[in-house]
Amino acid sequence: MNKDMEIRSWVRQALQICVSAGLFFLIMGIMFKFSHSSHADRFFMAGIAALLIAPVIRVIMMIYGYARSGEYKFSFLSFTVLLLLLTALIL
Amino acid sequence: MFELTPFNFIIIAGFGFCIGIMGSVLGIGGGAFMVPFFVLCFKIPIHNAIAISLVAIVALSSSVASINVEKGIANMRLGIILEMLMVAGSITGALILFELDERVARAIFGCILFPVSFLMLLKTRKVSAKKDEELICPPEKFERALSGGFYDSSISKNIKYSVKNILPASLISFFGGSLAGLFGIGGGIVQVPLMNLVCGLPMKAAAATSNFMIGVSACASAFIFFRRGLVINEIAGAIVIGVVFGALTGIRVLHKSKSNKIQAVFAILLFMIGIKMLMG
Repeated sequence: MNKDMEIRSWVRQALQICVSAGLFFLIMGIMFKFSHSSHADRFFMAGIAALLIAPVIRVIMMIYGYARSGEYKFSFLSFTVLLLLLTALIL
Repeated sequence: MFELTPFNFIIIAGFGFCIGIMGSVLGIGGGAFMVPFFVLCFKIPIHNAIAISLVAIVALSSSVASINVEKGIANMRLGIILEMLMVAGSITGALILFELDERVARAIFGCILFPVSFLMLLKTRKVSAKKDEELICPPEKFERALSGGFYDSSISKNIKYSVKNILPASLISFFGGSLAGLFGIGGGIVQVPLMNLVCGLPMKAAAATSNFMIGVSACASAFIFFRRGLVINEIAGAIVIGVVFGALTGIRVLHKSKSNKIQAVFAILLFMIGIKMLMG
């Protein structure tokens, strides 16, 4: 497997794990909501958090992947995107 | 106060399913449809509607990107360059929104939909005028750093292309990001024509790369809305479930279909929503 394929594979896996986790929590949240359970909101929060973290994890994977393959310019650009995302989290 | 009933869930998730299918094919987040849908059909305040829309766009983008990245259709290197300025624009847009009155935000959003619908119609005509084979760049240009290639199953050919006009494209990308933050749209409405017409990417690569990018810019704005407690969790949950399943269905079913006809219908629908938003 070449390095580009490796980065693509990491990005795919990171996104799929986060989306699957988010979807699981949200479906659980809906089920709890319809059964009038007080836990519904916690599942909704966990699901939304898992979804919102997916792009952040994806960017981290790209920073590491491009740095590992010696493409420091793209690694630095990805790092800048991560900094902007963290800025948005603080604001 | 909105109450999520099983009936409402079916309506919202069903709508999200349609958005997921369209978004995965056209490379847009669908915020231009979701925000008016929540405001007009469920009387949800526009700031909450935008917040919910942004969460759904992140879900749509992540679902579609995971498949397009694996297939090599999304150009990740170009995506990083454009999304850097797009994220900066998105944060700027989200912060400006809190200073805006709801009526003003609604009027601006309505007005923006008209040129966007025209742009989409125009793009449909341009794509129709060109055959897919004409979009293939000469092989000597292939060695550029941002060049890319993918297998297009609709024409059973390997498409290779190079990227041009990266500097003006980056600046326009900032504008696309600002729109995303301001109005809860993905920004794909700007990014897809930008990459297709300015950067010279084939339509499918432009749509896939746009889907790859819009999640990050929407995420930046969504963080701001989420921290301010503007996301209505149960509605976000319902629309996300629909959107994710729609995206996964759309990418498999519609990947081989021609998107120009769907896009024309899309443009007309945008125009109608614009009128409705302006009428309040």
